[in-house]
Amino acid sequence: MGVLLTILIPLLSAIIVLTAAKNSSQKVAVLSAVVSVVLTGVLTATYFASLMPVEGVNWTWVESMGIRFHLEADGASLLLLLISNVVTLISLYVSLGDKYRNPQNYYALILAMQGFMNGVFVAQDLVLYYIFWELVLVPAYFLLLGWGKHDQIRKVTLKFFLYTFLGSLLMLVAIIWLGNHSGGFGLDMVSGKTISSDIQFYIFAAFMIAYTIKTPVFPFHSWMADTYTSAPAPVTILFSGVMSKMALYSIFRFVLPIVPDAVETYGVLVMQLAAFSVLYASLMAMAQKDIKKIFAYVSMAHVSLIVAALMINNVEGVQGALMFMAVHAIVTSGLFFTSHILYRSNGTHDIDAFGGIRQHMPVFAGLFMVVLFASIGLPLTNGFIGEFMILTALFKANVLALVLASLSIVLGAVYMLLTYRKIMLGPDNTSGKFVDIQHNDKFLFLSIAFVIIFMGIYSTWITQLCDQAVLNIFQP
Amino acid sequence: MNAIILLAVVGVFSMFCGLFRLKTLALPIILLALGTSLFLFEYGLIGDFSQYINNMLRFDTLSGSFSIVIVFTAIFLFIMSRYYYSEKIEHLTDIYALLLFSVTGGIILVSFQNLVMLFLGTEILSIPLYILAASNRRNLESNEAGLKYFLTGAFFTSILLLGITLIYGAYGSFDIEQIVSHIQTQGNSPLFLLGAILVLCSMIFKLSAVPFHYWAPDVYEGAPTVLTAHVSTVVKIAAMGALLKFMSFISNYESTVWVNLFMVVSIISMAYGYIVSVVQSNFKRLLAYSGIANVGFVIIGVIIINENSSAYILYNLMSYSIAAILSFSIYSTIKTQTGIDNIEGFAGLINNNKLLAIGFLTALLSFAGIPPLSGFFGKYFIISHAVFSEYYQIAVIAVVLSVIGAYNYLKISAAIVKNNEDIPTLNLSTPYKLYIILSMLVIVLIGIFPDQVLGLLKI
Repeated sequence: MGVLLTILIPLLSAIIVLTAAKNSSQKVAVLSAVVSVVLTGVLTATYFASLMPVEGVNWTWVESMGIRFHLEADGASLLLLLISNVVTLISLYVSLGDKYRNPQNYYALILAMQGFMNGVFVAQDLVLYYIFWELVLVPAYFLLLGWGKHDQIRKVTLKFFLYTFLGSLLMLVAIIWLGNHSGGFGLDMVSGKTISSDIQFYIFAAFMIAYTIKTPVFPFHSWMADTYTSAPAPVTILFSGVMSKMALYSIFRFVLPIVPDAVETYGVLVMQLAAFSVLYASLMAMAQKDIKKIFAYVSMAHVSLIVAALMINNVEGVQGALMFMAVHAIVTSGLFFTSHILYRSNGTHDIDAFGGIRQHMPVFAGLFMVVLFASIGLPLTNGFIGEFMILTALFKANVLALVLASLSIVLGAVYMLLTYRKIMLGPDNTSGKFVDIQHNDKFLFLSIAFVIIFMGIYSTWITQLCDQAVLNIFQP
Repeated sequence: MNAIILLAVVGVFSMFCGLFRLKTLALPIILLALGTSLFLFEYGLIGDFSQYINNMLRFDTLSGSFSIVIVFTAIFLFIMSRYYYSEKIEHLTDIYALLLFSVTGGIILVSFQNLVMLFLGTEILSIPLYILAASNRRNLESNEAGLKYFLTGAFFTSILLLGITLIYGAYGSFDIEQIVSHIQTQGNSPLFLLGAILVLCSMIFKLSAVPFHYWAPDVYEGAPTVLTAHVSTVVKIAAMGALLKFMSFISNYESTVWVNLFMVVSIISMAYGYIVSVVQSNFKRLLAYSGIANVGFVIIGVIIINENSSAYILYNLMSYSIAAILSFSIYSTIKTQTGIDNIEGFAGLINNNKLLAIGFLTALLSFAGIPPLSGFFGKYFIISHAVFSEYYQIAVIAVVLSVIGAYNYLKISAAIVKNNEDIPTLNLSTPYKLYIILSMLVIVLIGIFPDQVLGLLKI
């Protein structure tokens, strides 16, 4: 039941927000997000107590088609639920500092998106999973359309929607084939079935196109930069913090166990593509003048690295990938929060409009530094743990991918530090009003920094949380 | 059969209502009659495989369930027409009567057992349409639509007759079961093949699938919106029912011909409909083209006919119809009160007209196939039918093309939620608001409980 509540609480709160008064919508939304985080924490504790997947509900739904309403959360699902709910809370907290048009609609859409994303992470039936996956797109679409800042926001939104819609419809065809082949859509029925390797390739391709679009990985990334930069900061945080995780989680949950032969054969290709994508995104990040775009490409580099790690197809790689998902969710939230604070002070994302801000905002400068170090993987931050695990696994698997990925990590350090120097250090040549972060922002930023360092020092709980789920894939 | 008689009598009654100045009485009686027929079909008081008029009409499972959907859709259509026509319009009751006759013709069409009844059903369905299309007499476009529809329709009626005659020439019978038994004993005949193809052509015309689609955009645009809604919903359901019934008898003979024929029709309709609708700016024309595409999508279910195809087709048509009537209704409300009829004109609808906008968005997202709206399972069932029948290429083509379709619907949604333009608040009566909410509820409920819906349709 608790698992069902992770979906119901945000959705019901969304309805409450819609009907509540304008000024109270913020508070209701934040309250609901806090409840969701606490609930997920309780579920995680239950998991650690018994080390058994947390049962949700298992109802028949469309019996003629063999579709069930089946929810269940194992360790990996719980990790993703934690990510989803914590990032949503961060996103709502970031929203506190701003005024939004039609706040009821805005907060209701964010909460609805949270509910559907939670659904993606706990669905145990492929069609149910697909429905949640598709549903996430609806609030995402309207959030971007209604509150995005871009001259041609409708074009940007349509591109984003159609790109991901195309991918997911191809995935739907593959899902229907799988259900027809195994006589039901339940994950327990589909997993581990013998499928001939020819057909495995087609299913692998259909799934991976959908996921590499959503992640995004080169060459399906062209929707990403515009979408991430034109969305308001809280929505960008949701997109890059959680929505990209949906794809990564799906690779872990569906692609690896359902089509193992195809992953064995073609995984290397995807791995190298993903590693190239890391390099590509890093180079793109270096060429940008827009701070938010830089961070968008940093995010792309990181998620591509996770795809590469998943394609290693062994316990180490997958554990590293899951760890880095948690890391990336926090770090990317921190980065986009940073760019948002800069935007609030100066009304622009243009990097040339900043310089020497450290003098005005010393606390901000220090906390930004922590997030930045996590992003480039400095020891003692959580970024180090994630990158280290993935690179170790890559080292054993594929040297070409390792070289590409490591090269870009060096590049990452270079351009991130350059960015920091341009914005924070040097002579003050800005015109905006820079006041150091206070109250809510300060609290939020301190919490993010704390989590980054806490995870950097003590991260084994994440590995323990996912252990059983990962072993289940490789030792059925 | 009782339902057919009931609806026909009520149609005549409605005309008398006009004569005796009882205009307000007509609609409640019609809705009551439709409700009763729905009840009759649903609870099998007449649908028990009965045959009538020397086995010329026969209500089997397929006819029964198609009739249920026809009547159910017609109820929404009549409620829509209540708000489309003002009370003061002359001949209102005649218009109701014609619509009702057309619905009756649809029921006859889907329950034919004898090719003569197929012809009669088609005619009873169509002749009111020609009149209704031109019923807005002072509007030049309406006249054009009526004339165009009449001329092409008459042409295809003669094609249908020619086809029936050829089949009769081949086997000496009009009864479809006897024809089938003759095929089994005497083998295929080229006359029969030609005749069957001509009969199918006339059905494809009624469905407005490529290559006989060219009338659709002009008729949709010019005709009164109620008629447009009728042509794109009830008429298509009826024609599809007849097509399925016809094919369920003959699909085992010359099966490669039918598979290829429907495959080509389906793919070309989807491609043409979706791609051409991208450049449309008039809402009714856009729905005409996307309707062409949706028919192409539905025809995937006819390529291979098995025990599930009629259920899947019916579900898709039903979900499409309810959403189409809702969107036409909202469109006509906006059109009559502001005169806007192109997509960009809807910009900012949501700012002052929340209910209309949300209703519109529900219909559009259902068209696009977003869960949990009914359009999702409508799409899902057809795609799974293609996958189950191992026509993977069709499934992939269909989903890729339906992304283009989604582009159209999202383009309109994007306009609706635009925030820097406004449409003044429109007057809506409370019953009309309830009607919109009811339609939205139906769209959501059909989408959430597909199994139960198919159970109610007894299919």
